[in-house]
Amino acid sequence: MSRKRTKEVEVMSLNLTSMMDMFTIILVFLIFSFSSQDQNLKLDGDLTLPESIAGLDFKWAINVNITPTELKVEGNPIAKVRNGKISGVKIDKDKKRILPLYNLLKKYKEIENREKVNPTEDETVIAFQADKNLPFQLIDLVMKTAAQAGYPNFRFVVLKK
Amino acid sequence: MKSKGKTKEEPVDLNMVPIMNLFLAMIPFLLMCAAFFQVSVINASVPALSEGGDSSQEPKKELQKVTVNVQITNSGFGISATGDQPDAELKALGGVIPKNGGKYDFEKLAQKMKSIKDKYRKSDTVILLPDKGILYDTLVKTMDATRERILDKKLDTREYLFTNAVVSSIL
Repeated sequence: MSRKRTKEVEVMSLNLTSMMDMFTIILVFLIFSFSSQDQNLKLDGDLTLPESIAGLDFKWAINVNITPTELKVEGNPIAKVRNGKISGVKIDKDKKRILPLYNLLKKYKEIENREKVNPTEDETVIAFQADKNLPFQLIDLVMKTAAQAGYPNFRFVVLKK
Repeated sequence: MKSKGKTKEEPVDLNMVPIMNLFLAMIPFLLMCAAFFQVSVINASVPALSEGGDSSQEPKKELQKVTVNVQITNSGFGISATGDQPDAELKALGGVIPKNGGKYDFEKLAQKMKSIKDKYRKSDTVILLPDKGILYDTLVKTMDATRERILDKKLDTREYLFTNAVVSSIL
């Protein structure tokens, strides 16, 4: 009987020390890998960025993405890409420009001239994310279109080696 | 005296629950913001038309500076240079770096660019002229080879070569 009574009185307590240790380690690791990069960068899951030794950090820019299937500006689809070529939209072959892209970037430029949208003091550039397996022909066409719309400078977004 | 003895016996337990709560709130937040891969950028531009300067004044000759053109073709790299130097001197800077075992010889290209940079210290512009079918990945790797060399990876010390990259197509 006396043994039974002793069991009833005992209070079970969880030992949290090892759990606290684990959480502390995880917390320290996560704080160290905390990214302070500009959140304006919208990485596209459909494309494989090329690797580079470049060490420059990302700054505010207009996002232009070319995936193997689509051309996007700030996440909005502009044209379809098929076999490394733009399809389904009008292309001015003489002036070498993709018309919907040109018109949109031209609009951006007009807004930029009217209102201060660029948080940095530098000239607005294009953050260019392209799939590493796309041919230069397509890259060149997009770059020339952007240049004609008033954006001749680019930042190629790459993965740090 | 009796009560003092009682206090000594009682073990002091820290209340860990609020700290645990804080940790549990912070971990999901930090997990969302954590960057498991690092992104960087390469500056590039396309050729733009400029309004010419005063044509009455003859431009000053710059003998410490050349502009290097790198053609990227399916067979390798073709290098040429333009500048105020005599034609024979510029011609000597040019050359061809063929593919090595079916792969582009980026190491050789980097060495060539370094030798040009060492000779003409004020040079900073390279014009990259890829063929239509050249992959974007090859263009980026060529830009790497012409732009900088990593001297010490741990200390992240770099030697900069031609930092101003202009990308154009072969006409």
